[in-house]
Amino acid sequence: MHIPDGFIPPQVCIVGYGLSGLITWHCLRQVQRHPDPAAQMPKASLLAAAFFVVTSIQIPLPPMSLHLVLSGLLGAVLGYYAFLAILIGLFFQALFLGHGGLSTLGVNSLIIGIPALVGYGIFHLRRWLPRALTPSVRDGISGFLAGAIGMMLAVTIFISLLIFAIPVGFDAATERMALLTLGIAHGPLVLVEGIFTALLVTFLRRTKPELLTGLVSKPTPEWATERISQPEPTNSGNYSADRLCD
Amino acid sequence: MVAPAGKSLTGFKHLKLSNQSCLSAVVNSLGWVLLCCQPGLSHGAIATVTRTFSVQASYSSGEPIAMAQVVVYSPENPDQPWTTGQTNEAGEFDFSPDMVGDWEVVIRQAGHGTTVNVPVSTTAIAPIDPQPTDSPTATLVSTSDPLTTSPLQRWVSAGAALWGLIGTVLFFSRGK
Repeated sequence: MHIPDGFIPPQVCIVGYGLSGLITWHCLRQVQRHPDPAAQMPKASLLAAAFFVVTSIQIPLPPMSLHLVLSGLLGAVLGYYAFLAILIGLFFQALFLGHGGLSTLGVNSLIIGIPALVGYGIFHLRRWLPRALTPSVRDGISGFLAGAIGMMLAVTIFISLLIFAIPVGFDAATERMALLTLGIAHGPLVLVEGIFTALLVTFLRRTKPELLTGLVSKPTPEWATERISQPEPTNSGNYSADRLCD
Repeated sequence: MVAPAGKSLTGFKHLKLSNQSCLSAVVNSLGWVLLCCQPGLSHGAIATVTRTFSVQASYSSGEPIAMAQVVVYSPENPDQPWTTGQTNEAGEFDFSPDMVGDWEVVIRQAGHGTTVNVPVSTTAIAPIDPQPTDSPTATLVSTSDPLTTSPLQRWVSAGAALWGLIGTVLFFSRGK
């Protein structure tokens, strides 16, 4: 999911930097609205470290090697911080591991960062899930969707960017075929990523629910109070935390 | 993502021998005169030595990039491919440049790959990295590996980046 230097035209690199700059600005603004932006920093930094390590690990799946992207997971747990964490993680990977490239940093941050923001949105949809389900199941379902759709979106953006930028000299049909094979090979990883996100989110819900409270966009008292009324003893202080985190 | 390129020096010897044996009786004398005047035409020997560059493409994990597309650009025309081809099972591809200058080899498979510059000179090729390679005759000419540093250095720098992130966690989670 990391486009190396020289694989896309310079115009695309520049547009990629422009767009990722705009998104970074927007995310920073959202983060600044927070009464205490530093409160979420440990979580964001820890997940940036996890992103840096996990997405560097290549899973050999002949004839290619793939890696997870953790887009949905970061989006679900970090919200707007996710894009910033991904940007930092990608910068370190390009600099120290030669994974991706500095000229394509903007484009790569879009490939992984946009699905993270979409995953953030998808994770929010849990409030629309049937009330009959327990909050833990609802979290699990929305977490799975965030992770799986995040991965699918990342693969789709990656492939569509490259499929239209096959340079002269390369056999376009072969390259297209190779890209589609790569996309199909990511199928199992989509499930893995979804399950992993669902497990982590439900685990956090059980052990440290305050880590998930940063997700709340607009505290709608109706559902927020509904969450408090859930028989979870640790949730007693969540309402104020939810408000703070927006 | 990494394609170290190794060079092997191979000499080809083309021996071109022209043979003038069946001259008709009519032009026999004329032919004989010609043979006498231009002895070079009859038994000239031409030796051409070409240098073949062998490119080896592998992922940073060490796994070869097999059956990847390769495009070679000559120094004269960097826009149009000079030749195209495919790496073999071992991720290798050979080409014989015909002019001096900086050649560019692009290896690509499913959006993954790399670009390597191959400096070609008529005299000696200065090896840029004296690291010993597998074959004793092959000299490393060029590599697209951005990390010509040792693996230790690489891990230390990656570890430093990681520690920076963990340090940030600790800094921001310290007690108020």
